Amino acid sequence: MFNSRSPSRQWTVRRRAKADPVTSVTDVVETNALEKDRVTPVVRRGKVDRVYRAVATLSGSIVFVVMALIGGFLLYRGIDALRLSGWGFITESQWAPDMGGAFGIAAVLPYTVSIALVALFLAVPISVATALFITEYAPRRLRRFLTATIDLLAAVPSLIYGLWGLFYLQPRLITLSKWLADNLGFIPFFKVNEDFGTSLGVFPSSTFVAGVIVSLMVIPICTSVMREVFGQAPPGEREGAMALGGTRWGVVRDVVLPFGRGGIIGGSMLGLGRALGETIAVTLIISPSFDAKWSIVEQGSNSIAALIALKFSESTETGISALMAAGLALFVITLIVNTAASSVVNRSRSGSATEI
Amino acid sequence: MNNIARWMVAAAISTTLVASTGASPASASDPVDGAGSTWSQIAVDQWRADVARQGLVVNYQGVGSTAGRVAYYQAQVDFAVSEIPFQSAQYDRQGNLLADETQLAASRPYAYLPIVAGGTAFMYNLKANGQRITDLKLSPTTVAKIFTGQINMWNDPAIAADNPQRVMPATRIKPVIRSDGSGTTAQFTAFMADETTSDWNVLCQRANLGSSCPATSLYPDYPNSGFAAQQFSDGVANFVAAQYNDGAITYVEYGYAKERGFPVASVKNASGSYTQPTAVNVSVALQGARINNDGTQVLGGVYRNSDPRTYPISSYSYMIVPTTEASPFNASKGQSLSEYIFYFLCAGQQKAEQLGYAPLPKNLVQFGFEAVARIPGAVAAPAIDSCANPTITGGFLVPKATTAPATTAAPASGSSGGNSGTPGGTSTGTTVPGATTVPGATTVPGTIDETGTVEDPSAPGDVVDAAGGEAVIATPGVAMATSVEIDTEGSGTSPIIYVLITILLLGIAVGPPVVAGRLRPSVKQ
Repeated sequence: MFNSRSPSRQWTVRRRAKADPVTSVTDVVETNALEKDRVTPVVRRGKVDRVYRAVATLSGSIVFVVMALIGGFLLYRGIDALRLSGWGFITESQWAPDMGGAFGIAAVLPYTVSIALVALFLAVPISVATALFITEYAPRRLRRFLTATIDLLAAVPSLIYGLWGLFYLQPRLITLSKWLADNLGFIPFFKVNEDFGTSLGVFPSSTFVAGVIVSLMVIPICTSVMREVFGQAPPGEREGAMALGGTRWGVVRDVVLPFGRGGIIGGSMLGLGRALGETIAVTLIISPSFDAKWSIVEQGSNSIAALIALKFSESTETGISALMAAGLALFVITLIVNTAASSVVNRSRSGSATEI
Repeated sequence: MNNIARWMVAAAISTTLVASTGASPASASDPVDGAGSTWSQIAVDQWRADVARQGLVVNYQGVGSTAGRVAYYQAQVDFAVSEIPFQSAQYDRQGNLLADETQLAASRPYAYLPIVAGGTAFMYNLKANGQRITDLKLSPTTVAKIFTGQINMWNDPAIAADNPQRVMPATRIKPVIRSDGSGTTAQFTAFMADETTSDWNVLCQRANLGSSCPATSLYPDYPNSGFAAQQFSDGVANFVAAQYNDGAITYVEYGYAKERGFPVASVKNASGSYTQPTAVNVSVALQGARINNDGTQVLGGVYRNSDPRTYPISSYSYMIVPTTEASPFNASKGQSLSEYIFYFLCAGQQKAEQLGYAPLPKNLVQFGFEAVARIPGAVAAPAIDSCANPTITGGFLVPKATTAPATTAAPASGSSGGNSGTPGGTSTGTTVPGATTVPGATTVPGTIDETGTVEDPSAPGDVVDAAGGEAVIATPGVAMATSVEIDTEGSGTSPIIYVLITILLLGIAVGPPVVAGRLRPSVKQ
């Protein structure tokens, strides 16, 4: 419905219609020598083509330049701290570069990843289901409305999600946290420290609450990508499956989902990238903790982005250098995640066709 | 961009003034740039706006105290504002030198002067038998033990000893600290490092920072401390005020607790009284401030001030000003800067209480004047008695009562020291220039005598502080009163309005694409 094919086609047609008189004014009569005439303008456009090509190449390479500059800057600013801490930067969980103490990402990094994983754990199934509903099951009118709403949700600033999560969601969510701890406490993820008991006060500011709020931001992005891919499932195979007597679910299972596998992975990875780097909402929710633990419902969590946001203003030069090093770690991890994602997407036959 | 625009506007205004009147007292002056503390920023910005009307341009960026000090010694700004002075050499655990701010700053000679004063309040959320406790009293040692993780339960003997008037509940204490760098943290940790050193060192050791550590803007935490950390004063105050956080306590500016209608602990001072962190009690305490040869504050005299009205955990933030014309400073800027300083040390302090701070007392204004004299190009200081500071013009600080009843008494009457936040009420409309904005002061419950103590009609004991709490909350008036009203009204507002707004917003956002889709000639594909 909303795919860009039809408008773009109209546009090219109009362009050709406009361009035609210009090229053909001189040789209006020579109707059948069109092939040759068409070749000449192509050759004449060679210069334009070359310029265009140069501009395109330049803008393409700017991406790499910017990325290299960011990485280089982080490394340059963080190298002092990395020298100071050595391998301790990876093995140390404390963070006290300003007071002459040790510092490292051994606690912050696992927390960052666990918030992102909680977010994806919730976001991916919901996104897949939403995208399938929009493309396969929703009536046409509802489809337009839903698509617009999802795109709208993707445009809401993360601060809004964060504030809503802090003031509305968190006080309600902790009752669920408490239920999980009371009933599923034997699972390490839902266990809480016996010293503190299971009063409601131990559950806010946890990985779980932060993860749920981040998942709200990730869902629209994942859904958008997946919907786009599912919508491009080849109609031929789709109709073929129908013709063979397949049900709608059969079509989804055997055509849409396999075809959209790359889209599902790509969308999830895009979401993971956003979840890893989410700053404001996480900063508002979490109570920074510097000892890694299994429990996700208990108070205390962390994230590299939030750490930088919180400590930046009052950090000494060593402290800022250490924060830059942490930023570098986040940068590298995001690169690895995205590279892995794109390689997975490229490897799947159908995914490569979708050009995610 | 913004700075340039502001400068141009100011310049335009001043030139038109010169053109129209022919004689302008303040010639177009050089703009002065500063950076630093966010804690002081509300006051600094208010004063900037005030002097801008006289054509004096002062720019300020609240980037944080530490960043402000760095910007000063890197010669990026003319002045800095910070809660703590330049830090002496710091070493990591291997003994490597990390940074030596005092040495770095030596290249650009400076002087310290007091700028904004305030007290650190302890806001708490505690219920006993379903009733909120509002008369909590704490001694400084107990406070330090709570915030270093050495006392974990509200019915701990140390807390019970401070509160003989009631039985404390067996609730777990949840200390709430700031997760971001903050001036409030710096002031509170400076107090602990100075006054309750052994307790503070326990935290240093637990947080693996060595056997002792200096005051810091970033509160140290350690594994399994049971501390909760939140961002910003608003964040910690909201967190403590949350219904599910029974047993939580945090250190925050007094105003944030008042806004939410939550009580703050009365803290025991050197004379044995338990006082509230009102502007008056903070100003009284700061009368005991002394200063080192290098201009840094010696707050021992504040923390241990023997005046019974003293709120012990009081301090002030510094302005760091250059004493040479080293770039980017010059004499012309020095003139502007000194005019700004004289404004905020004197008339500007009238606004301190409204803004949630306390006015600087006379002794600190005097320190400020002495520091200004060292700024190149500074104008001459006004006579100290002509300074329009409310602590000097009188009326704000009632002279210390010679026969203050609170000095001899135990906790119960000590609470009357807490009530002494009200004497501003006696002077309403006469000497306090900001009086028009504190009409609420006249409606203070209880009668106030000239000594600043409240003759509370109710019986001594736990009731006294409840009444005292009311008095204190009602006094400074408008801002707080309105916010409470909003709170109570908020719950009553009809949800239909919210639903309508939501539908409207959704319509605006979703409508256009849907309508556009309909208008477009349908493509059959």
